[in-house]
Amino acid sequence: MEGPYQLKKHKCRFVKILPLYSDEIPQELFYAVTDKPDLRSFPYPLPASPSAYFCSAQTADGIIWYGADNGVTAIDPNAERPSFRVMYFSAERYLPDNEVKSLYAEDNVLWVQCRTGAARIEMKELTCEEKAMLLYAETRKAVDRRGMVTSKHLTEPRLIETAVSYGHSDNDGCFTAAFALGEIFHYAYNKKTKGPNHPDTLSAKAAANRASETCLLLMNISGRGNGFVARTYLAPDEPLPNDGLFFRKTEDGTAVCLDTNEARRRGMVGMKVKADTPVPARLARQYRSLGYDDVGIRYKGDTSSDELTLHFMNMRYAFDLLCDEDDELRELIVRSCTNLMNHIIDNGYRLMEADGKPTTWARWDPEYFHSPVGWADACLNAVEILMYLQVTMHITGEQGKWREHYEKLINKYHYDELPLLHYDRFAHYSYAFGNDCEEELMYGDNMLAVCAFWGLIDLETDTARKEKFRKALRTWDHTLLREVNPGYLYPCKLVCPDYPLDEEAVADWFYHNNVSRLEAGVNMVRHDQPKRILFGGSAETSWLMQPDELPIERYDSNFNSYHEEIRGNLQTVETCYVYTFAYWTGKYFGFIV
Amino acid sequence: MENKKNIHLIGNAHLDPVWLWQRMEGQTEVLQTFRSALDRLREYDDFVFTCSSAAYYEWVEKTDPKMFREIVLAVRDGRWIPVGGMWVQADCNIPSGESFARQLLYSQLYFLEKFGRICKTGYHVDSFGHNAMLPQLLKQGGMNQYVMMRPSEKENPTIPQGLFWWESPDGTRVMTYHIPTGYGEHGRAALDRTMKKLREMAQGNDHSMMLFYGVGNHGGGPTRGDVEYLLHHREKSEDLVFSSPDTYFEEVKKTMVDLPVWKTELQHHASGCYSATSLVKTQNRQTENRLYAAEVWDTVASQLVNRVPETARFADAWKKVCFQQFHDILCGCSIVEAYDDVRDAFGYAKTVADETKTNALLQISHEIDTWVEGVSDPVSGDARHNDGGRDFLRPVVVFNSLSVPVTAPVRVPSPSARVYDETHEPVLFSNVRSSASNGSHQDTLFLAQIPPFGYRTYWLGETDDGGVKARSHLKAGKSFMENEAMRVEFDRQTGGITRLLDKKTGVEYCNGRQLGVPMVLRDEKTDTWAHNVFTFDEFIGPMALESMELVEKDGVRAVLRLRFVYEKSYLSCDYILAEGASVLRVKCRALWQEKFTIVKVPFDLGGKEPVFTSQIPDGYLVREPVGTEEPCQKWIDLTVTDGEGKRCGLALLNDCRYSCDCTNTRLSLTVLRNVIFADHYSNRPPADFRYTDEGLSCFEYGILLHGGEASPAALTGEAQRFNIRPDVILAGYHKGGRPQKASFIKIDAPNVLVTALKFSEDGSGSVVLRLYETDGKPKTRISVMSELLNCGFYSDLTANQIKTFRIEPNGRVYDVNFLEGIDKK
Repeated sequence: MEGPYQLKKHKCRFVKILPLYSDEIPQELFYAVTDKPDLRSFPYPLPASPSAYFCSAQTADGIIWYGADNGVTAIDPNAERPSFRVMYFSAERYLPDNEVKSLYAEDNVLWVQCRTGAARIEMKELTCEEKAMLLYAETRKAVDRRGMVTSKHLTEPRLIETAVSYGHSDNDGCFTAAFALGEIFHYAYNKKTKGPNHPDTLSAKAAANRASETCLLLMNISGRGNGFVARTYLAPDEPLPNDGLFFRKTEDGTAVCLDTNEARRRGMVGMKVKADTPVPARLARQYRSLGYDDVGIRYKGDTSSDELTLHFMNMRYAFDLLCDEDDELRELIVRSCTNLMNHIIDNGYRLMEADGKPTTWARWDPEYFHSPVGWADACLNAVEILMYLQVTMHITGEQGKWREHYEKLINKYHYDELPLLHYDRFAHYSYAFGNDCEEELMYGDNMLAVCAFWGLIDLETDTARKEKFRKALRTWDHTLLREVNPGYLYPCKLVCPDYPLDEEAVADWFYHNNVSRLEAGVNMVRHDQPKRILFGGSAETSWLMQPDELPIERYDSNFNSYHEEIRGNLQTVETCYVYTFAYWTGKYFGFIV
Repeated sequence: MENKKNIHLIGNAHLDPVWLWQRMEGQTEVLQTFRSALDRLREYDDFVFTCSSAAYYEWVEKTDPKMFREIVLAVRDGRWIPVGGMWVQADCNIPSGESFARQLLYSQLYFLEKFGRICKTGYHVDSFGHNAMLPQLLKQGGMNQYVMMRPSEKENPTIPQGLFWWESPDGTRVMTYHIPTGYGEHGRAALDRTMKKLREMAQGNDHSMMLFYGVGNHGGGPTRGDVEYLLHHREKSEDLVFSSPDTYFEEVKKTMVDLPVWKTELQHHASGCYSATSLVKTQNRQTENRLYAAEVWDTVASQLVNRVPETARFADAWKKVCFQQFHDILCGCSIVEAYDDVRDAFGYAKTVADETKTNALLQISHEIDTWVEGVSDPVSGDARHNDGGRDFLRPVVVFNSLSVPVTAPVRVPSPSARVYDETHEPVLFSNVRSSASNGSHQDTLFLAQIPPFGYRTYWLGETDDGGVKARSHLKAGKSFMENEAMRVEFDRQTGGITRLLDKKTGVEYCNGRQLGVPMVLRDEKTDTWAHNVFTFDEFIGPMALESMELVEKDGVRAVLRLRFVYEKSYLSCDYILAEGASVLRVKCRALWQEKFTIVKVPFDLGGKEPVFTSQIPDGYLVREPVGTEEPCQKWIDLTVTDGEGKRCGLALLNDCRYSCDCTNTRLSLTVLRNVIFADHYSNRPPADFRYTDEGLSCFEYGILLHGGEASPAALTGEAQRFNIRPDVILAGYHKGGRPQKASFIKIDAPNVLVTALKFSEDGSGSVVLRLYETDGKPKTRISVMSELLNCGFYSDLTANQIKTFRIEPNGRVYDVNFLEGIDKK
């Protein structure tokens, strides 16, 4: 890398949807008439057929806007970057619907009249950092649930302020840990560049602490005292979903398994489990400060390796970057890490549920790797557990038992060889289901793989093993490199110097991320976008679009996925970590300025 | 967990429709074999029959509809399993990528129409080698599993036996079964021996295996004796399963076995087959090229004017080509009589192409405004062209059917005194000797520059108006020629190139060596296939130079004619260097009257660190320069580090050859192979043998120099230009709404080549555009713009990826596979 890439101010899409009767709409919009534009000789593909555009308007910033029956196309003749040359605005993220009736330009604002409403569109210039702060503020305001950040339901479409207070995710721990990593790097970057006492540094530290403590709380909230990690937890007054295994903490120091379909399936309804290990006060304040007691707290079990992998990475960087003057936090991390690692080792490389059986998706044992599902999982899970052991050695400062198991897994069970087989087994597994292994892939493990390899390669000191793990990381190229996501690319580049990194494409990714994570969908049926029919029959786009013209997704999605219908729920707002994790990782590690 | 280790019994009949017999006999053989297979199905409830090749099914459908209905029912019952997904079991090295697409398209759509399903398993159990792009080609044809047999373990022990993943350069994988025994075991002893071997392998590999049984080659299929013997064994052994390749793959894909991954081609078995019988190779390339251009212009014309596209005729023509690509035909190892049929079949396809293209081009050119006021006033031809000093320029429209721009000399009958383009800019031209022995004896040759998928109008005048003329930079003498790109000098004693200078890089390629002298080799010890011989190196010596003559020396091009002789044979080579050209063309005509010889044209570059690259179907491949005879497509390249430490290379393009070798720093194109027809390990009892490549052969190769490493994209573009030349229409004068220069489709990436522009087979009016990435670049975004097709879209391509776009009349575009999305409807 020659030096950090200089990200620039760039135009961002700000949109407001209004009913047609709104007083805010200038009356000129309703009387706007323009000649049908002739775009037949336009030199680039357009989202609608050139003959479909029937009206146009030019805003003061020089952008020319064209209306068609599939939304609005903006052409910026002065755009420095090709990705801003042609921009597409479609329902439901940017328009109430795609039937444009008229356009009207008022200074830098474009007004759009559609069949069912109007839109006010303005391209405002922001820095990437300003965007990160906007997104963070939205997440804190609308998504944060006692520090956990995944997504929230809105009672009114598009109105972020109507987010309900409850709502959980299976992967609250995983998403919150990723968010926490971003905030830790945010803090560390500010500390390095602005000094430890700068207000921006202090506020970033508070955010990083809050997120990391939330993760540690999930690692301690069960009170089982054996390192068991909860997926998430609910306050006593939050509704209980019939989804997964929930345990309610009781006054007698136990927790009882609640009546859900999953609990019935496993025969665990009413089962009691130890819950008397105290939750550290610093962590419990997340709910105690809101007036909740431990009794009545319901935590979710059957925790997966996804959760644990992100928790280990969060602990690793919280330990390195947050604990300088915070012995209490350091101690909490060391203890939580030790407990969890002991649990895994003591249970034969498995996370055990209250019924004495392993959880569904947290298994790293050789026996599992020889089962039909575990055979394909083994290549990633082997990396995970080796990473856990490396992080534990790093955090505890001890080798002993951890090293003994690390060497055993490599020397006896060849856990260093298994990761090299990832794509071969994955392709085989995909083939068994009639899919096209090159494209109809499972993207759900991308972030897990990135974090597992990141932690493992970074902490491994043996050169030969390091190289082997680097080679194994490249077996994930098929999924990781099908999109441009600095959240994957930066960690991979950190530990794998020859990892491909197209900085211009990454800059476009930052520039084209939205300023809001409202889950409003977009129209993918476009004149310039072929629908790709895959071997197994599913559909993808033929080219990867920029994030602002794609549905709002978290990591671990197929960003080439094609939908005939507009997807996205106007009543859901998503976490910002997709952007903030990538941005602050890039800043802290010197990829971008 | 324990994986199954069954032996899947695959009842089949290997059917060569042409080999030591002609097609009529092959058809009879198919009818007999299918009858026999249906009888076995009726006699034995568990028996399952597997059969490839859509052509055979179509024969039966046409000649015995009643039997065909029986087959339809058997397929429906899952007891007769069509496999292969191709028209025949094609040779898998010589057909172009587009030919593979057509093999798959027409066959899979046939199977879909007749049986309601496409084939799941690719199947080439007898084909002699398998190109490295085949996994992607198969997958694009709807199949992700493959059965093959050659080369054997003895021929190439490094290829996994049994099951493995085969991956093409783009990353596509197909699960592949390499038959370790034979495709047609029959008789108790053979079955016993094979069962024993396969059981051992199943244990060792930890997965099931397939046993292919049934009398083959000339058809036959499983006998009652064999079926009953296997039934008898099955009573004792639970691991025997009457099965099909489809069922086998269904089982093994569920096993948890880390299979080997093979990432290159599967060679070598019959190394002589890529040069034997040049006739069929030449016909194949010419027909592929002509059908491509004809479909392009049929599509454009049908979009442009009120014209019914000739899709059905093209399908018929392509099926003829597909049939001739059967491995024993295209590899030149059938009996000599078979090649009369081959020539006629290709002739049919070429006639379809030529008629259709000519009609389409005339229709398009008629839309162009070439009207000149006053041109219709005179009443005689002489007056029209020389009307009292009014020299009416004659309009000529030159068409480029490629997706890359073309600059090339084009020839028009009759001489000219001036040539202009559509903007009245002078164009370089010269008058050259025509082939006619009467009239003016001259043609006009001018340098045309035509946009991709487009045309350009040029104006030719009979009288000189004294205007400015375009100037040539060519120089030529009795033994040298030079343009802006290169200088070439020849030895007047040997005809060898003694100086070959790349003027852009300053690299001199000869340095005391002589390049390009045709070399004769002895080839008597092996058979037509060259079984067990993988290197041809029994050199007799160079052909002797008989004469050297400078035929053309200024204007558009210089031509030096060299005539070489050997015994009773000669080879005439016209070295043609055109103004501005980067390729030195060598137009060859050979009259060969020898026995057991090979002719190669070698280029020894010297230097070190050789990298040998060949074009393969829809791709390219780097091979070790170890002297083995290798199949190739339109170009081969050798790049070396020269004495000054510079990387530089020489590529050889060709218009109809498929075989080459590279021995360290010597690159050779094999141009003739002269062995007995269909000589299969025989002891050659006395006869009046016919030899392949006896008589007259015409072919061209081209020499292209480059600095640095080879650019497969640049070479692929040049090779395509070398193969598919511009078409000239003598347009006449007419009014029209089209401009005098146009490009109908623009594709903005230099590393992409279009291989098909046609109408969809479903008659919907949708247009199909197929292209592939030619340079191995990991990511390429292309844009395709066409007002004619009402489309403008982007697409991302990965390295070596093939893409097929279906462009609907409303401009909606689908990114589909070779089956055009028809199978997904």
